[in-house]
Amino acid sequence: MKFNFRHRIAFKQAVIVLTVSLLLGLISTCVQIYLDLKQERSNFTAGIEQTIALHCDAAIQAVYNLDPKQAESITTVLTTTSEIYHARLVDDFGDILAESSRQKTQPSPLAVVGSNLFRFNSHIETPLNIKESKSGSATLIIDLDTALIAGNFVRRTFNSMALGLLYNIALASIFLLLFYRYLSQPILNIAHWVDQLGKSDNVVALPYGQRDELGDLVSSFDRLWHERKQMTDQLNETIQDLSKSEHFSRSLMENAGDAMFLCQLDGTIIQVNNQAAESLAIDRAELLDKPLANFSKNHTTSELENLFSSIGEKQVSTLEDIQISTQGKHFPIEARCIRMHLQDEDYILILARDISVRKEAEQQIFELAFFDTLTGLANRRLFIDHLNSAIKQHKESQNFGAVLYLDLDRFKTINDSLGHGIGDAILCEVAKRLTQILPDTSTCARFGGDEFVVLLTETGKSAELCAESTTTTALKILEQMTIPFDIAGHQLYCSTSIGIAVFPDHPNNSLDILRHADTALYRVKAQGRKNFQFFDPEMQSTAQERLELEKGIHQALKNNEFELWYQPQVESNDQIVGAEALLRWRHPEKGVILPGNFINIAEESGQIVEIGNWVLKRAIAQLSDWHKQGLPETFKRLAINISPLQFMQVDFVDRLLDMLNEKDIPGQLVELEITENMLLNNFDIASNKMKLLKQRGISFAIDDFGTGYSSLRYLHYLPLDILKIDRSFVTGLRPSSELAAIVEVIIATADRLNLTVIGEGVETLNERSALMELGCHCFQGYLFSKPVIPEVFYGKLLESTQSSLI
Amino acid sequence: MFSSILKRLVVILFIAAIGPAVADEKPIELFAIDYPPYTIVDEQSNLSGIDIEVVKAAFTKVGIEVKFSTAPWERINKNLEHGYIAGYTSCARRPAREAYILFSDKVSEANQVALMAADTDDSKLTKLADLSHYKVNAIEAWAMQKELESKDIPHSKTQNMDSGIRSVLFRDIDVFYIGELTALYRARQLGLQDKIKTKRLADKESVDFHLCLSKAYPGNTQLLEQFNTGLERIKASGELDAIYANYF
Repeated sequence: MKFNFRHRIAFKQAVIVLTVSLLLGLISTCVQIYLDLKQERSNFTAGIEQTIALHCDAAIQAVYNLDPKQAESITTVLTTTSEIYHARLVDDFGDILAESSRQKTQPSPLAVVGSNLFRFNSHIETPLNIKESKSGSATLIIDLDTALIAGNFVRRTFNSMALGLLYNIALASIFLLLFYRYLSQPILNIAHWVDQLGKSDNVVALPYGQRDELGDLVSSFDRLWHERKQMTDQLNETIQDLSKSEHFSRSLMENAGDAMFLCQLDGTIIQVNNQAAESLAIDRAELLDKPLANFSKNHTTSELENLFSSIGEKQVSTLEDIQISTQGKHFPIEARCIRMHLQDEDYILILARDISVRKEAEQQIFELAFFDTLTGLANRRLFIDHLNSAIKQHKESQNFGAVLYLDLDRFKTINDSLGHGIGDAILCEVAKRLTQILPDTSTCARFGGDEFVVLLTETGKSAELCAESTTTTALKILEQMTIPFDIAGHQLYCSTSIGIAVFPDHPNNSLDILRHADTALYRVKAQGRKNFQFFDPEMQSTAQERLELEKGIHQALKNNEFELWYQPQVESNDQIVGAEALLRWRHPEKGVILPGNFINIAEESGQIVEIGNWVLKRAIAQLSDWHKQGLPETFKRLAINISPLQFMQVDFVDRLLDMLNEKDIPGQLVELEITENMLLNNFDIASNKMKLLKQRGISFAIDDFGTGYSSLRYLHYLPLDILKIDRSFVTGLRPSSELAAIVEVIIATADRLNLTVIGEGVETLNERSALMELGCHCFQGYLFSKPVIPEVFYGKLLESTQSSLI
Repeated sequence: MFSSILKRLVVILFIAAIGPAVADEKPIELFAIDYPPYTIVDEQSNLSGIDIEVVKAAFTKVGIEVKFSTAPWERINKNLEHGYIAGYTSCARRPAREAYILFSDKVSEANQVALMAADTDDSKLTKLADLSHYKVNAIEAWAMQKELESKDIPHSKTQNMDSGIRSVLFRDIDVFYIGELTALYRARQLGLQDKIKTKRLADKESVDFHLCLSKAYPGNTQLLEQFNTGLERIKASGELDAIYANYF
């Protein structure tokens, strides 16, 4: 141990003592000097005063006698006093009676300092009262030798300070020696002893035997040292044992084939083995403190936490997961999670085994079991499985699905002539084309050979919609198969035939459905291939009809086959006050088709917008013609039906207003008939559009009121003018019947809201009178007139101005 | 007729002017030192002596009251010089004093005499220089001692009057050179007046003593005139002689 005296306690203590005593000495000396100064000044002043007092009487006598000799003896005596260097006696006449002086002491540097400290009046004038003096008092003047006095004082002060300094240094030195002898040296010995204790196993003699604080410290430390040493030895033995055990366990862990993760219950990794680091391609150190969920594809941290918390003590929980290595590699694992209690904390040990090989095998088995090895499509088993699920699901949802059974025409010929390789390639290409055009929810399977089966789910709420949707898909397939297959340099044509079965149709199972589809397929083949056929003949016709209508509407618009007929609306006095424009399709082959037969199809196909625009345009053109020809004043408006889809078109309002402007038709002549459902679905938009049109004078009628939700809300909030009571309430209406009660409520509501009520489908006088009785005074129906062509209607209109229609 | 009325009027005016002033003023303070028998200061500082009485009598004669105080000579002289006091009695006329002192008419005189034992042969003693033939002493620092010194007449010094008188009777001193009246007055007090004699010297003139008034003191010129008037009256009336008779 290097001995550095400056680091010794004794030295530090002595420095502190010296510093403190010097400081205190300095302060006390300063105080002493100050007090001395005061005392000295007081003493000095008193001394001088005493000296003066001593000579005062003699001086008074000398002055009284004006005795220069006596006076001189006094001044001489005064100047012999060391502090006084000059004395003068001035008589009461102001004349100097006597004066004595001696050489003044030359001021030393100390005296200069002292004179600054020791300030006093060096020139003293003492007045002397002379008895019976006529001229005032005499004066004894003395001048003090300041340099001498200050020098003396400073010398004494300096001596005092020097002595104080010497005293303090001596005191500090004595303390230094005492501290070193009685504190530092023993502590040094003790430190050396403690040092030896650690290095040597032998018993080292106690370094200090006195019965004082250090002695107590040494004996206590010695006792403690031996106790701790004994415990340390035991501990070392235990640690060695543990180390062996830990080494064994660690070897087992490190050499295990499975990845091992020791995690806290929140999923934080706190220990792993080599296999874990290797499989996740990350350094062991980097793995620590990371959430295990970071490497899991299927589990989040909270899920793992919940899982780990649910595992009981000594319980093993097994789970499968996909781990993701740091290089992005995904691999399946089977993890065994064991809860362990270590060092008062619960941990989860996860033994993760890579089951990639097993999973691959399983996948292979699955694919072999459920997929067609050539095309990758589902095989029969999987298809039937899916079909069964769909049947069950569709029965519950009341939705329809369809199975399409495909057969490639002439495939056998190609296979036989060009070989199985080409045949297989065609099959793969067909599979590819099918999967491209079929919806994702569908299942496409190959049953073997050239037989493909397609399962379409959720095709529609009704058999008709299903038929239409399925037809569309079938047509797409047929069209797709007309494209030649370009395989191995051969351009091959291979059309297909499709048999279709819809489900759930009758109580049937998947095999029945497949069989129906197969039957339908044979029918197609029998009819000449390259087509599709429904198993149900009715559905076949429906589908065909709808197909034809859809095509027909397109043609009708193109060929101008639509017409507008007009049905009068009359008041109680039988005067025609308006008309409803009604669409008719004059089909070249089928004759006149009513809207009920094609409007639904047009709505579903979106053609309704085009039709609606045509109706609007046509109706306004007609109105314009009549307007030009002259409309009777009794004619108030022409009602035009607007479909919801048409009304919701962004440009509907502009389009209508443009038409009116173009034909210069007042809006008041136009009434738009809308349905309840349209309002319910798009209340805000409909409301805004109606308000815009209303500004132009156009009125609005609710068509078929009472058949929908009949919400009173829109009646109040929308700018409606007319409410049409549906024909279902009118047909067979009798007073006091249940129907009459409903109609009465409708009419009362309309009255309350200032709406005009029109009864629709009035066919008999009874109905008319019943309506009138209930408060409805405007009617439309066969009783007055069927819908008629414009010319006829115009004639009726003119007639009605003179007489009633009935 | 008219002149007699005018005279009466002048007298009346004089009395009116002077009367109240005389009656109200404090006594004029004059100073003296112990110089028997001219001026004597006893232990209680009461002043008496020939000159004191003469001065008092002279002032009384003109209706002025005076009182006497004493102080050291140097102080009196300096006060006179500065005009702090009215006057002093009595002093000899000296050139240096002319500057600040108004001298009155002679109040008394001093003669420097040789005092000897009654039986001393003084036949050879007529002039001052004759003293050289005698054992002479004088009071140290007095004017006579200084005179002897200045004229190189051998002499010894004595400290005071008494030892001077006794030295001619009981010691080997022949002549004590001293003021005449002073010495005789002291000898009488000592009861030795019958054992001594004095002899005036032919070449020694008497020294006149005057009332000395400060020139700087206000009203002193008038006062001097009044004093001289009073002094003349008492000389004429015989009061002066009567005073002298009381002392010898």
